[in-house]
Amino acid sequence: MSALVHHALEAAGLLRVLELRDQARFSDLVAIRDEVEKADWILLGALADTIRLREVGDRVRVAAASKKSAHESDERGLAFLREVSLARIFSERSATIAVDLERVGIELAEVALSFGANELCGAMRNKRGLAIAEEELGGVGKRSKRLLLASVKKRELADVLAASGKVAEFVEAS
Amino acid sequence: MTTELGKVVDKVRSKERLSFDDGMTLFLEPDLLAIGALANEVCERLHGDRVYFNRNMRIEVTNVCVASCLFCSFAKLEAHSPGAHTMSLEEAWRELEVRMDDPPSEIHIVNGLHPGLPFSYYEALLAGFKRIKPDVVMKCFTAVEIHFFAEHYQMSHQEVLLRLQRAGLDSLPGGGAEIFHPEVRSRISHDKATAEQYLEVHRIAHRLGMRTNTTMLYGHIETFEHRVDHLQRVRELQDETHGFAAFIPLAFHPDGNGMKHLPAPTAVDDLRTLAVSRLMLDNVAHIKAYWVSMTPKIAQVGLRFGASDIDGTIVHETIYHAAGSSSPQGLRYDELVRLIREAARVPVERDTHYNVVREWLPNAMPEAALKVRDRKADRHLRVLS
Ligand code: SF4
Repeated sequence: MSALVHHALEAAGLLRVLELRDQARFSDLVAIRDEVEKADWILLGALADTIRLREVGDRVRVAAASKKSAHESDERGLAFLREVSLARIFSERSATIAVDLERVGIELAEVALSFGANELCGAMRNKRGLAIAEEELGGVGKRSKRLLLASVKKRELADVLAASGKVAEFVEAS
Repeated sequence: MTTELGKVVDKVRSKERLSFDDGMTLFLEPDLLAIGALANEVCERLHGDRVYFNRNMRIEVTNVCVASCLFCSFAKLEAHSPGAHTMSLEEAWRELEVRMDDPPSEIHIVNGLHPGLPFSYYEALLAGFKRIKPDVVMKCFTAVEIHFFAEHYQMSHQEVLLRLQRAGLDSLPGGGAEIFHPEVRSRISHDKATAEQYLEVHRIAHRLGMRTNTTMLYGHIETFEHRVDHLQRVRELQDETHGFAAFIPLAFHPDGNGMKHLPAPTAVDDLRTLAVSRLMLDNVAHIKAYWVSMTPKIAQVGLRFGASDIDGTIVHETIYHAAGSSSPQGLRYDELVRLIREAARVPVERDTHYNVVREWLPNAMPEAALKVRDRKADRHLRVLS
């Protein structure tokens, strides 16, 4: 945690959350929930990110499915990130906080990884943010193209995560 | 926090100008939220809770262009190429006429560099819009276009700008800046205005009383050094003229252009670039989160990373959409207001020159919007213990 963030959390009385989590005093943590929820959005994010780093580290599980099923929602960015932060802050230690790529989009999902999330699931709706050249997918049949796209997406997603200091760990989508 | 970041924080808080090395520290600092929080501090110092937007309308009257920028998915080399279009004056004016029941306050026109149109076409274009709506602000033609007009019609930059100003030009959009550093510019857009020519056009426009915007196209082959260099050049001209109203970082989109093998910048890069721009450009009032390039969701997050403007309703954007933007082509007025209010900011409708048209009072907001639960989040978020 940077000193800037540390001071800000201290000033907002949020360092107490870290202590309570370290001591596994979850009922005490729940008791101060209303107070914590009043904190500024970016402070909640910083707090959740600190917890994520301490409890689950920089590994990001990617359980991205290849089949699309839902429409991207009209979710607004900030409210969603706030929910991600709160989920991390008030979940059990080392919980998996998974964000649905398909519903929130790769862009917001990637940002959510700095707000306490540590898993990406669902299918990618678009490939913005991923280096996928059309030529790379040329000259193969439809099925092979799908498989090829999936592997190229994997590779590129791993690069995107690496660029923000995270390590992708691919698992089978359930 | 690294010692370097600590020094930058101290400088920002004592309102000291950041150096090239400080800019690099900000781009390389791993703690994204720290950079965001710092930029937010500066933004709130300058603008409080206000976020600006306007009712604008985009028109691209022609996509025929003699230049061959590698990142461009919009231009067609020849007037008869498939997909090439050039509007007649009447077609262009009709775009405004059909919207007169809810008219824009600004018309934003950018085009390709069409070699076959007379200069009088552009003068008539501006004059025609002003005839339909005399108070509409015409923010038209990038500095690259102005430079092309000067060369093509054999006039000086000043003559071009004066003639267009007489016809109704009020301001220049910021497009065409790309990356100023010649190492990059010569590779991605070698056959249009140089950085010096781009900046000279803005310098003259400022001298003629116009306020203009400027941009930076990031996330392709440039390095962080090139970005910081770019920001410094903007800052230098602003010291001299004070004519830039806003700086707009534009994310590169790769679809259908000569750099389609490259990835678009990530959302984290979008946010960081907004924040660094806010921190480096201590003399530019507004940093704009251009929702078309970064999606409305990320632009909303950008309002807490140093951005104090979110552009406008836009209505019909084609340049970014040709390059694969997944954003909608326009946002309704009430959608923009909602987006801003949900960021717990106060929406301020402005005109091109940042005069306030309408401001929502903070107490008119139902409640601190960010504290409203996102009721749909459960569907997009899973917690597994
Ligand atoms: S970016 Fe502008 S100047 Fe370059 S090719 Fe496209 S339309 Fe022409």
